[in-house]
Amino acid sequence: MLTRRGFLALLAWLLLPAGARLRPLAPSDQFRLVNGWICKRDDLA
Amino acid sequence: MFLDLNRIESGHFRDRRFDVCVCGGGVAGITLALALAQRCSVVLLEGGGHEYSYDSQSLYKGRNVGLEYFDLAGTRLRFFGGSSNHWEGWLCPLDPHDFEPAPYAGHPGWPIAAADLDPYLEATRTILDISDDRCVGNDPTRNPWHREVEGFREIKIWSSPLRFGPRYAPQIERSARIACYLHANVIDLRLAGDRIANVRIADYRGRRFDVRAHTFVLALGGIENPRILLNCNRQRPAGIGNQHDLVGRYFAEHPHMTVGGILLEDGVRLDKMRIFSPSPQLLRREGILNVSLRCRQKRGPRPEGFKATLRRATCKSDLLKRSAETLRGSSIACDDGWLKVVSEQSANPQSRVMLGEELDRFGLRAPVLDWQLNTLDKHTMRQAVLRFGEAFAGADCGRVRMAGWLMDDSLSFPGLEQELAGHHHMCTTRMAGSPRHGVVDANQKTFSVNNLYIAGSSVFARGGHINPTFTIVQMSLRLADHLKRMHRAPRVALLDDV
Repeated sequence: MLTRRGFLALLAWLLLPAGARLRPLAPSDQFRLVNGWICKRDDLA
Repeated sequence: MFLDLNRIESGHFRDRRFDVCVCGGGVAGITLALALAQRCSVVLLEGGGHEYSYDSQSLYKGRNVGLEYFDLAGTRLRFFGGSSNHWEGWLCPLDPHDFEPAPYAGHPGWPIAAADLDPYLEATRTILDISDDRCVGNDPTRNPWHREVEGFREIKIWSSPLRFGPRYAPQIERSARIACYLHANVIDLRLAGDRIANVRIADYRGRRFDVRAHTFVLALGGIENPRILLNCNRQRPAGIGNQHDLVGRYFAEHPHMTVGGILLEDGVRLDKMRIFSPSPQLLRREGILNVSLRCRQKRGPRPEGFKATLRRATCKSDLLKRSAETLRGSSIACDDGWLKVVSEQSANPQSRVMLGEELDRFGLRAPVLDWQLNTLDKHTMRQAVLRFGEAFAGADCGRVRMAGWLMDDSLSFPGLEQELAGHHHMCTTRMAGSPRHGVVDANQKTFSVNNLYIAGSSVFARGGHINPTFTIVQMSLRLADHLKRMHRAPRVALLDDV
């Protein structure tokens, strides 16, 4: 069951404007995120 | 001179009126009193004595109701010299771009510019006993890799843990214009119209005294400044200076969090901690607040030969690492060093100092701290680490690993198991261009009371990522200049008869 507090947190999250939510992590073109490591694309070749 | 309030006669203040009354004998109060004494008679009120005492320190008790935070009676010190009695003295001015507006911060920034504090740089260095004039620099000979980390500059922070109490007590003792009362606890500010008529103080025997002055300055610290203003609700029900419900709001810290690890390229060493800060262009491009990244190699010899080969093979995948750790019975360090972030905190009105129901021995309500970090704070840390990791790899220095909590899209932060924050209490009586956005104006005068000023980091509009004390001293000197212009000559006889 969703508690009252949980429900309010979910509601607050849904009502947040998109800009107020965390943006997804997006490495630059030459890099990739692998298991948390910020790697060069060459590392994975 | 110093006087002990516990030992003076009851009618002591009856016929005395000072030019300026400074409440609080910490870094801001001591700096201000010494600078003002060149022209004014000053009464400096300190709640503690020359040394730590339980009676005084216990008046700092309070509650935390927000994010996990330090004990409020342990995160600051209540005796002469204030929190400089236990600090590490990492010092630097704020960055010039800390004073510029950042539209994504959602709040107007400082109403003054960095240039307004520049005239006080040299005097601040002198007061803080700093002889080295390099603070921020990008000296390639200091760069451990002799390589540019694009978008980031290396910075140096002075270490000068000067104890203001012992350092400046002799000067105050000798001064004929400063009367510093120890064990003088500020318990009320009494208004007459739109001015403070007197400040009521109490000693530890319970006696009350009224101190009169032309001008009053609160320099009690980032938690106590709002606390006393909110407690003074006898004449103004919301508290003094709180007509827009801003006193105590926007409490800001410098989160100090471990954000991951580093793996160094062969031949790269990081024997000392290195501090990097993003360029203003990078901050704007990423829409983040000011921040610094601190990295250091772990102590001890780096594994070589077979051990290094084995470690690298083991660290190649999570499955291999977990299996090896099970066999070994202990964890395997895949990183060569750690990466920490020290970040500016966003202007968040929900992060605040309030009053609780508990009363201290003088009948004042104790502080309740609701420390909050928000989406912009986590976004700042994530993007700074991501871009630093890219620059670090791009400069062939090594690779950066982001901690799990930082990868997590929820608003999770580490707690007290980490360094957590800097014990810097800021922005609770912010400086602003308008009373709708702050408590004090560009001269640190409260918008609603004509002779009440506030000093210390509670007036910061933004905290940057740098420890606040250097800026506190600069601003105290600037405030002293402003007040000295108002008091062209001492209005009362100097303090020979105190």
